[in-house]
Amino acid sequence: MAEWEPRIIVIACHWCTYQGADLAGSLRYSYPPSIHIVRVPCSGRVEPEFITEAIKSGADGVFVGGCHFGDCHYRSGNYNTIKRFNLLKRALVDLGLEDERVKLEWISGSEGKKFAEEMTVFDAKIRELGPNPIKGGANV
Amino acid sequence: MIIATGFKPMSKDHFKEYSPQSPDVITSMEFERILSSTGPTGGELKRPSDGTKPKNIAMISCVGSRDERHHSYCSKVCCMYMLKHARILKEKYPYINLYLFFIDVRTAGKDFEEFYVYTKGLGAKIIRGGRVSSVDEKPNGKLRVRGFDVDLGSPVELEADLVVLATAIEPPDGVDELGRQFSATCGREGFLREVHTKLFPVETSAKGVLIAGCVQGPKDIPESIAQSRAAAASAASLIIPGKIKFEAIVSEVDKDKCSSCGVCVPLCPYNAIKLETYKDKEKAKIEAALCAGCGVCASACPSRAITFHGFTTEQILEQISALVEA
Ligand code: FES
Repeated sequence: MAEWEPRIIVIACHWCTYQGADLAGSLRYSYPPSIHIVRVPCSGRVEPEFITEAIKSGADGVFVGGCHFGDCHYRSGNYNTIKRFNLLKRALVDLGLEDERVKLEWISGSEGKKFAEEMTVFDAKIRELGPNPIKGGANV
Repeated sequence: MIIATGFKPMSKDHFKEYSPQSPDVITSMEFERILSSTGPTGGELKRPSDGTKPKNIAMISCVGSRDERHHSYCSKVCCMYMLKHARILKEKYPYINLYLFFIDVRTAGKDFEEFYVYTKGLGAKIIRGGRVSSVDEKPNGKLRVRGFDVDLGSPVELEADLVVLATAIEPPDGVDELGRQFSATCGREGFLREVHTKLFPVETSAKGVLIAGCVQGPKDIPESIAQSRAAAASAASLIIPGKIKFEAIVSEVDKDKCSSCGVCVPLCPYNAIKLETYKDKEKAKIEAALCAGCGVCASACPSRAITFHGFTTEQILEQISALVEA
């Protein structure tokens, strides 16, 4: 069997984390190839379903990136994000998913280095946790 | 709508170490008035306490700026106006001893360094080296100033008749409230924020609300003028066409799906969502001209009645599953 490689979905806010990823690229910081980025206009656009769907369809980790508090391009989107995210995370943990499999972090557009670091750390964590236990299975 | 409130000079009362109770410890703004021919002294240089002419004047920079206890930012104009005051004084009253305490002298800008060199040439003493530690009132009515001089590598102490504090530029009171009323965001230091430092320097996150001058951050007069002209031009370019173009990335409510719950109404940061009657029921309606396209409402709608054009739920889920399975 081929060696397992994690698949990580990053849902990134267009104004910060996505720009941070861009900056990481132009500054030549490398981050693991397991990272797959989906762009949304604001982390407030992230529906809990996006995360559950990603997990359900087999993603090994989901990372949501938004602007720092006070920096949201749409003023208050990230406050909604954190509320929703924390609720969802509690539900996922109750369902038996590891706490670290989903993560929310604020990364600004100027934090290219932080982006690369966060991705590396997250990737390492997911590798440590192993493959998604409910891949294709339980109906979350 | 252009917000241009200007700034507020920080009051000296915050600085107990500089004896704010003494009438001879004044802010630069007050000093500017004393130097002005239309000021309270008619342009005559006098000590506020007894009306005598000061012979030794100390000026202190970065009072409240670049100071973790107050403001982390640099107020930008103080170095230059202190040099301006020094120049005026030295040209008019060459016999006055003038001591300028700086953390370091910041003269970035066209012709500014030349101004500094010229002023130094007039005999103003520049003392660099961190913050002045104290200003104390002496029994003889003078003020004792203690600081440090990096060039000498030792502490310095001098007696001054007048101490001028270059206090920080602050956002005026109530700017946060004003910003809130117009849906413009405030930064950490209390100044209103531009949408983009480089590309949209006078626009705020609220469409049609522009900012100019110190309400956006500390700046000098040429910059304020440049910014206000930019704001005026941006305002004109919104008004003159007579029509407003808006982004295609906006949310739209499917009224037949809307269950009238109203969760989206308070969530919208731009107050773009209203309830209106449709088939005898209150249904949400999004004003496309106000919608900035964040998608918060679409994510929150329990009936999935809101379509966020460009980033629909289906599109994003499709992307996610494609990426997971690829
Ligand atoms: S715009 Fe980045 S979190 Fe809202």
